[in-house]
Amino acid sequence: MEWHAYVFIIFGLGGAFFISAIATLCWAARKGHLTNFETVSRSIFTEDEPEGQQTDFFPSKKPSPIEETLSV
Amino acid sequence: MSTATTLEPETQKQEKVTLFEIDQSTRQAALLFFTCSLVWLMVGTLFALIASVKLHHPSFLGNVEMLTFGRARSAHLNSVAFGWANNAIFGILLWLMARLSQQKLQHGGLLLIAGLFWNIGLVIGVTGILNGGLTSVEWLEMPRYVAPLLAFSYALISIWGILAFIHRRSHHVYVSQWYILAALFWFPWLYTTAQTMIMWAPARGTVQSITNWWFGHNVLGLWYSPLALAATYYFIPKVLGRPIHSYYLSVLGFWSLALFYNWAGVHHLVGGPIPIWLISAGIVASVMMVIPVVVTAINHHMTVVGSFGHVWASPTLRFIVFGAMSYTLASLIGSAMALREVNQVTHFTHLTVGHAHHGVYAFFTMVCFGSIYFIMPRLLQREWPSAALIHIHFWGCALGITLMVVALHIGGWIQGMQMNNPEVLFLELMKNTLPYLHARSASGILLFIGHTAFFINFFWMLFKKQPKDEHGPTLFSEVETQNI
Repeated sequence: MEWHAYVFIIFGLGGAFFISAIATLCWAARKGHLTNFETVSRSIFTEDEPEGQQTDFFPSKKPSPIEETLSV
Repeated sequence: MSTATTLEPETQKQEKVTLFEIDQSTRQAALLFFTCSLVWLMVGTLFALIASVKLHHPSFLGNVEMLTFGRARSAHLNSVAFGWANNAIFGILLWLMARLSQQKLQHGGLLLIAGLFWNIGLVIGVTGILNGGLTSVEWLEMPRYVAPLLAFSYALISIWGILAFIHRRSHHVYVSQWYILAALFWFPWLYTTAQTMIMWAPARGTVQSITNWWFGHNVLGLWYSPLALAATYYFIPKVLGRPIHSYYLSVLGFWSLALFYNWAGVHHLVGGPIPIWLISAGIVASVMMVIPVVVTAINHHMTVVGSFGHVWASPTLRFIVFGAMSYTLASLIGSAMALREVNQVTHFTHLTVGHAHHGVYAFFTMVCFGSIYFIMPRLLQREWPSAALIHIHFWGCALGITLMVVALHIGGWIQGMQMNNPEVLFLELMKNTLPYLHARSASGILLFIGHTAFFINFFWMLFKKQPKDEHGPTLFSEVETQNI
């Protein structure tokens, strides 16, 4: 393969991904994903696995609900 | 604060999808990937032990053509990298993406085809290596005819991951989703470029080496690392029930990794016949990687600080926090190893091997173990059958990898210093490395014990249906109770 074909591969693919990265950053800024971090950081908690409660223990080692809630 | 207060109004209007339903939508695919990953982990560990013993007892299995050092070592690398690590992370990323998108994975059964093709491709590839059909390209040793099979499987998996994101119900994009989406885009870029320029239409001369190390290093930094970091950013706050210390820092860590890591791989060619400016750019980028690493370390530490008792009480966090600490250490050592003065000593030594295991095992693999400990009970609606086996798994792996990393770092440094000293005979310095190579084999035995405990616990859990313990450690919701 000639050298300009490699240039096309390297710069073509690299350029496409660079542009996609910039586009993603712009999209994130426009949609407000780079603001309101406090809310986003809590978005992983649900009613089933709420904030303030540990959700993983060794089998048969779970502390009582009161002890567990108070200590986290 | 519960989800009800954090969701956007438009999300609240939609029909609620429970965690149980989301988890179950990933069940078939995740179980297939995890099961295959466990099998490959054991296969890869056996190849590793064979290769390690051969380093200090070259006559071991000396008459078996399929298990010469070069083949056993490459079979080990590809079994654990593409078999264990990729299968495990495919399962984890699909489960994570579905949960964070608050949406069920649609037609998850089709992912079984992807899993099947991926693993058939690997069996063909590793068999090809053992039969002597391996290439001489680091991280791409499998014969090139398996590439289309792997690429097809990967495309299916990444499309499913991206579709889950597109159809998300949550308005927010959590930092783990950033890492997963980026990795899903980065890997095809790396793989396509490397396959084209090294295998299908090979570039001439040292351009091949540059492409090889750009690929080899970025597979770690732009594929394994972002996905493992996605898991740490989800599981550490999730298990502790405490939000990440600074979400701002996590976003900064992501974008700085995206900016710097891609340049770093060329530091593997310090001293090689390639343009100096290219190596210098790689060194600068490697040192700049200190920014995302320190940012991530501070964030993880500040989230966990004051809760180490809780970390110890959770199998998930024991492994993941060990992995997160290893990420910091391995990355900082990696930045130092990129410096010319240091690299002149460490190049071509066992230290590089120790560093690779520090990153891929002590960081990535430990994070995968921890993630699987959290995910499996939620997929199967059962607890892990044996706490003792989890303890054996943790201590076997933690002690094993620590011994390996320490031995190879010390032994490798001494080896490098002696290689640079013309007064030391080559045979003499080879003999001097023997104690460290023995330690490496001993660490392999510890890892094998840990992996065996995990293997037994996993398949015990998979096949032996146990009555659900209402007071068990996993938080089973009422909805799921009604469905069981």
